[in-house]
Amino acid sequence: MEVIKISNVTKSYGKIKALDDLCLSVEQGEIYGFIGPNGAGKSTTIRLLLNFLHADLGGISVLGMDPQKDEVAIKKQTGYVSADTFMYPDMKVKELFHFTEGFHKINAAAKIKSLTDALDIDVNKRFEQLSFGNRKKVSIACALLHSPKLIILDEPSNGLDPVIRANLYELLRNEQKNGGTIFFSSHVLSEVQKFCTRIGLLKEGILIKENTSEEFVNVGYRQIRIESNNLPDLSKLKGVAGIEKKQNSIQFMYSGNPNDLIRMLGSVDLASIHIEEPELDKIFMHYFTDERKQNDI
Amino acid sequence: MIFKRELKRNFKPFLIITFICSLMAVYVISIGPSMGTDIQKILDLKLPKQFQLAFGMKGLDYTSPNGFFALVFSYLYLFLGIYISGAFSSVVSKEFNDKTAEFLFSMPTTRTNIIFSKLIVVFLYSLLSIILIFLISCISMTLFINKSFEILPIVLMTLAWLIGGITFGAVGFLLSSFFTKGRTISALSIGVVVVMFVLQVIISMNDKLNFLKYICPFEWFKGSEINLTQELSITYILIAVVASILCFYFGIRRFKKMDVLI
Repeated sequence: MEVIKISNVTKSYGKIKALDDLCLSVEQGEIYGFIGPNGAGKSTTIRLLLNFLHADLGGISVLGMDPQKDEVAIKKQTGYVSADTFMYPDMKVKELFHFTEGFHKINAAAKIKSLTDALDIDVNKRFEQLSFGNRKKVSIACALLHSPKLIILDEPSNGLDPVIRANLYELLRNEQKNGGTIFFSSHVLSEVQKFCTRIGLLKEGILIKENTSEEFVNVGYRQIRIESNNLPDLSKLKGVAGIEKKQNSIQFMYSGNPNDLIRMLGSVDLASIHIEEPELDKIFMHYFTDERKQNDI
Repeated sequence: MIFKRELKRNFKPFLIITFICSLMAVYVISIGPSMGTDIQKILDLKLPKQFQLAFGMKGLDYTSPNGFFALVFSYLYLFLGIYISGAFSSVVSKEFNDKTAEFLFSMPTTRTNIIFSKLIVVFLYSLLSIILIFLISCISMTLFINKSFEILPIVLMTLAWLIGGITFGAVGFLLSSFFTKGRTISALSIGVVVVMFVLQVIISMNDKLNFLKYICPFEWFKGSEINLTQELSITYILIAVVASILCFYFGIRRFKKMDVLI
């Protein structure tokens, strides 16, 4: 079952096109990571799913329903964590949980207990007294307390320390095991790579690449690091990109003929050479470098 | 949930405005016995007759308690107009300014539900504030002025506060659907009430501008006229009701379609 289906959606803010003919679908049980630079249209996409915004063109279906017509039914089964995490500053954390429970017409005491334990939340503090990271944790707990079928998170790990971040991903995995679907945007690429079953890359409102996490890094590039006292001149070698040069080492992405690389390295006194699959952030950088740099590859 | 939350949020402003307005009413009524008919002489010295006419003070009988209530009527009308307009204009705009709109709108309820719950709370506080000022004024007149008074004009003036205040509130609410920024909408909602207050003065000074009285809530209800006629103009009540319904309708319509961008 498609939990999210976005068909040819276009959304503009005045003259600025935030999304351009976006098509995307997320199946039940998937953890879908949505990555892209600032202004790519990630938050706009999320806001369209929650009926915060209305598309200029195209169709959107969430849990098989129309976000505009079935807003309440969708939100009953959806948890949302915003990037900026603003809640009522004068309310205590336990009051915010009670406020959320009231809307869902549930008593989620047990779930709240497990969430506050896992995320280390002090329920007696006022929201305004909390640090950004703690506010984020409260926002996450509010989004999960009704065990939603769809969890939408906009940059969820921002401001969280590594331990809590790990707990968050554990919590989300548990929700997935219980049949939940997770759709989230992030800049923490290594986590997206580890955590997501599928990844979509958004650039200037266009989905430029969508693949499984494994397939994403297997794009024909290799990351090469050479250590030597006489580093080679890579300018004549075709298929080189993302060169990072230090005193006695050089790192680059390579998609050219391996024989050409070996021939060139034959003249170099190598201390060491490392050839590995590139990490997602290298791929990300590859997609988001400007046209001139891309043409170098 | 929203209802309870809004009751709590709007309590302080309600308390402050009710206290200030009641205090003002008590003060003016309390000076009644000592000033008596001298107050007309003082007003004639301090305030031109056109202004007295504009503020509904001309022709008031200061030997009766009702005259003193009519004197305070227009000032409280202005204060209540500012309070109610501000309260209605912040119903949704505050959620945008405090950036809590996304959190609230992510809850399983419709925008219409959210807006209605908030509007009802503001209406109830406005009503309660006006009722309390009315009761405190009646008690003050009984305590300070040792004469019986007619209750009907006072009830009508209280109704006038409510009708005029809600009209200002409705206009403030509609404006807030166009300008959600906190400072802008605060200035606008207060500005509209003050401009209308000034407009009634201008209208009373220039007969050629008499046609503008239909758009000026301060022209609709004047203390001296209500005291004299013991009635409220049906035409103006109808204008107020229709204008309020239209403003609320279009305001809610705009908020329902509005992009939530914080």
